[in-house]
Amino acid sequence: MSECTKLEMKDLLPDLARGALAGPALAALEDHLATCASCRAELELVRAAQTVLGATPSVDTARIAAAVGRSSSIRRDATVAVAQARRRRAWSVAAPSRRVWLAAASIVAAVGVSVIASNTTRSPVEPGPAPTVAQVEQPSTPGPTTPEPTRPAAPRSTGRAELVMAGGVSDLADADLESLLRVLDDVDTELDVEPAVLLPVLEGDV
Amino acid sequence: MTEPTRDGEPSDAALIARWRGGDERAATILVERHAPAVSRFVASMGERGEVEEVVQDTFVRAFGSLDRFREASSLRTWLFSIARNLCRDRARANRRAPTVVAIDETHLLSSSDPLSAAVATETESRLRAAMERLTETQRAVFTLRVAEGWSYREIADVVETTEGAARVHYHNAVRLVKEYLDE
Repeated sequence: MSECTKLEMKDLLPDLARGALAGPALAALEDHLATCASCRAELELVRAAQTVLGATPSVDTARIAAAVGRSSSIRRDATVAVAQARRRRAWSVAAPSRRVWLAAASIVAAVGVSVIASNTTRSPVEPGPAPTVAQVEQPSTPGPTTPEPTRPAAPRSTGRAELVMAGGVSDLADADLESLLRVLDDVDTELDVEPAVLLPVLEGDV
Repeated sequence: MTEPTRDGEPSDAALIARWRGGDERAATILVERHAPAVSRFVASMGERGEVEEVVQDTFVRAFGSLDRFREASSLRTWLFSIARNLCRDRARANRRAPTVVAIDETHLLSSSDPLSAAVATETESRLRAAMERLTETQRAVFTLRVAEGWSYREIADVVETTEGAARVHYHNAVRLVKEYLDE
């Protein structure tokens, strides 16, 4: 038995076997089958395959639907949790700018104090010693303090140098610095509450 | 792409919209509508003993990512794509840890004629054996075309190929099955 080469007829065999063919297509195929043993044999094969493959395994649709419902419920909860986490993350992202503002405010304060101190030390009309901020902030530093009258002999340092000497943020009192660090620690703690365990649920890895 | 047409019953798209709105019953209807065909497909892909597990995973995954479902395609095609991927994953895992899977003969033809029944059983057993020789893609195409009556266009969506390639896969599968049965 030679193999039929009319693929357009073979294409219709599954539809014929399922009873899903009608009209001119059905008539054309029936005419072809009347003269083609190869396609008749293939039709029998297709029918046998439909019998084998058409049997529906028993599945508990109620159980499957319940599983879908449970999964959906978990997903909704996870969505809410992740939305909350995103809000916290947004706050955390904003937090660095708060830190920047705090640091900037500290620096501005330090600069202000340094400039005032610098102006005070530069002023020739104001009598008496003009202690620098560093001197004020470190009263307990042991060792002799350089006497003010010897400074005019050396070249005057610039205002920038004065700022470095003033120490910037380090000019804050210990208590203030500790308070600032506590605030920054609190900000970092906010990042630790990320419900990372829930993220895979939303990534479709359920 | 055609949605299942059932008189008086809402379309898949309408049910999906209802489910998205919080109607859990819509999911149940969709499961009841598509689970039988998905289970037939899963069984034909070689999953014999754990068909229900795969079908359940299919629906859980599908509903879990309905946001990514493109309304332009049919839910049915999408479900079969997920089921096929699950079957492939399990087949890969089984290759790593091979197990003997007996051919399921629980739903073979019944006949009042013992001789006819025996012949039918023999034919079906050989047919199953022949199908197990097909590649995964050929088996999927053959199943969807013969058992489900899908068009090559729909089949192409599931096996991620072109309509023409799906047609070639089908005819190759038929030829290979015939060759095996003629041996």
